[in-house]
Amino acid sequence: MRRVALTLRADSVEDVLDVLMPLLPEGVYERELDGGRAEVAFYGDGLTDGQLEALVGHALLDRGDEEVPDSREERRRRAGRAWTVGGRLRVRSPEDPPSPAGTLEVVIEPAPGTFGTGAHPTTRACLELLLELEPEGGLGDLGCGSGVVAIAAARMGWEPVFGLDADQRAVDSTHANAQRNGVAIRAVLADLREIPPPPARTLVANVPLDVHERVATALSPDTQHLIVSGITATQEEAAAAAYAQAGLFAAGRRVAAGWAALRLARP
Amino acid sequence: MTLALLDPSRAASAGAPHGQLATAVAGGLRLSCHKLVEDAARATILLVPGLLRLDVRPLEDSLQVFARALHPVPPRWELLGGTAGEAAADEPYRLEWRVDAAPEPRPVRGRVVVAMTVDFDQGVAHFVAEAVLLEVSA
Repeated sequence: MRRVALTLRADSVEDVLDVLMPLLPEGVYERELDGGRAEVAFYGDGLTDGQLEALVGHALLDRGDEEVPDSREERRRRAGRAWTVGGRLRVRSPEDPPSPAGTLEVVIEPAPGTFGTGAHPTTRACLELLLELEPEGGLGDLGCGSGVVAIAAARMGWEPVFGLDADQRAVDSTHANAQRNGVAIRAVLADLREIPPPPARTLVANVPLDVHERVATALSPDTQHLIVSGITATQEEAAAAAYAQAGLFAAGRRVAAGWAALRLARP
Repeated sequence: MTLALLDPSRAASAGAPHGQLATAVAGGLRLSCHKLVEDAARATILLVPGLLRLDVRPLEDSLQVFARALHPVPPRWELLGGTAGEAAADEPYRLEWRVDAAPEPRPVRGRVVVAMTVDFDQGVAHFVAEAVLLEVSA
């Protein structure tokens, strides 16, 4: 199967999609690139080279074609691909080339059904806000998914690092990815609607609003920093209010693609 | 006479690659479409040439919806409600909007519904979308 990747100016993507989307029923994969550029990729032979040139040639900065295995799993891996957070942390799949020596790197093999491949805006926001903190003491990753945040935290210097998730596949995936990255993380199966969060100095919670509201009522006074993610922009106020009751207030914020994330701290 | 933008043959033709069904109803157009969309892919689920396009992107356990205006006067979308399922829930996502557009010579009002059911193990989501768009009488 052919994978076609178009490099465009980021501000021309929607106009290009107006032309391409009607012709590509299986859809496209978008990702931001540096320098105000974006990539729009698709699979298959639905468009000839001549058609592509005629339709979007004026907007193309670059174009790449590659043969890829004809499997959905392969497409899933490639949809995430490598990405960099805050210019300091690189997240990649095992299939991507390694980062240069000295780069802070997390290698994630997403297991089917687990959250946190790194492709999701909520995961990226967690990592961006984590980079704003100085590592100190323990960290709990609530809703750890594939373990990407927990592994990044361990790499950055938090110790010990715990992961909690209500899905056994996520717990298993976190352990496997921790081993792949050579870090020690204890991941456990736990439903935060039923048990309190661990009394770690720093918590990262990429969970739905109702879980945040439950966590807020059960926080340990030892928790000084909390990264809140997994909420939409319209839910931000409710989440902030719940944590304000627990004595935590906003010290940082990210909003992307309708999702909001907060970095909270005790004053 | 129905607006050209609500001509079912145009919507059926443009939406054919997507499996979109377009039929005439009194004073307007009814659309229906369903498709499988791979995780992280952005795909079109409804298309009315010259008026609007609705794209969806399932991403892990969430859904992004892109309402793209294809008319110089962008249609106004108002979320009427819905359910946003989570990973462990059995309920599909279901979102419903009211759409108001202002093509000449008569405005259009409609209702759009999108439902998504995710198969995490297969990395794919199944979408069902329906819309009814009607001319607004003076």
